[in-house]
Amino acid sequence: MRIRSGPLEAAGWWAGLTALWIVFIGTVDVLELAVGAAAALAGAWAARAARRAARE
Amino acid sequence: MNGWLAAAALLLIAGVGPSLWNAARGAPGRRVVAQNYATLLLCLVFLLLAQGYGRPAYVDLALVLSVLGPAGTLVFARLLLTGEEAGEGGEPPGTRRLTPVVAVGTAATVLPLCVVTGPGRATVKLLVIGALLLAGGVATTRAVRHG
Repeated sequence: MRIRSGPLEAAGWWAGLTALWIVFIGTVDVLELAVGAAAALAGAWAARAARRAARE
Repeated sequence: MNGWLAAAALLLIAGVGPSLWNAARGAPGRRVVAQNYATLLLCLVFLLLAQGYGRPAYVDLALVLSVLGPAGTLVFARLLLTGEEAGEGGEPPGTRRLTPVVAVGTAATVLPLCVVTGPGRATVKLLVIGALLLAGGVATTRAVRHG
C-alpha cells in the first residue's frame, strides 16, 4: 500500500464522498452541492483519521 | 395491493417476524445472527415498500439501514461473541445460511427494482445499496464465525 500524503488522501476521500452525494440526492441544486461538499469535507477528515487509526 | 407490497408483506411475516422472535430469546450467538437477519430483511422491505407505495424517500431509509445494520451486528458480535462460541466448537445457528440469504435476497430485490426504475441516478443508488448489503453480509458472517 503506497503511503499517500495527507492532503492528497483527504482530497481523494472528499471527491469520492461528493460523488456519492451527487448520486444520492434527488434534485441537483447549487445549495445541495454546497451542503454535500461541506459534509464531504467533514467525512473526508473522519475517514482519513479512521484509516490512520485502523492502521496502528 | 400490488406485487411489491405483497413481497414486502411476505418478507415481513416470514422473515422479519421470526428474526425478531429469535433475537429476543436464546444464546447470544443466535441472537446476534437473528439481529443481522432482521436488519437485512428490513432493508429489503424498505426497498420494496418504496416501489410499492411510489415514495422514493423510503430508499433513503434502506440506504441508512444498509450501513447501520451490519455495523450494529459487528458491534454486538464484538461485545457478545468474544471467545465464547469458539469454545463450544461450533458457529451460532443460522450462520451457514446467512451468506446465501444475503446474496439471493439482495439480488432478487435490487435487480427487479433496477429494471423498473430505469437508467439514471436512482438505479445507481439501488445498486450502491445492494453492494453495501453484500459487503455487510460478508463482514458480519466473518465476524460471527470467528467470534
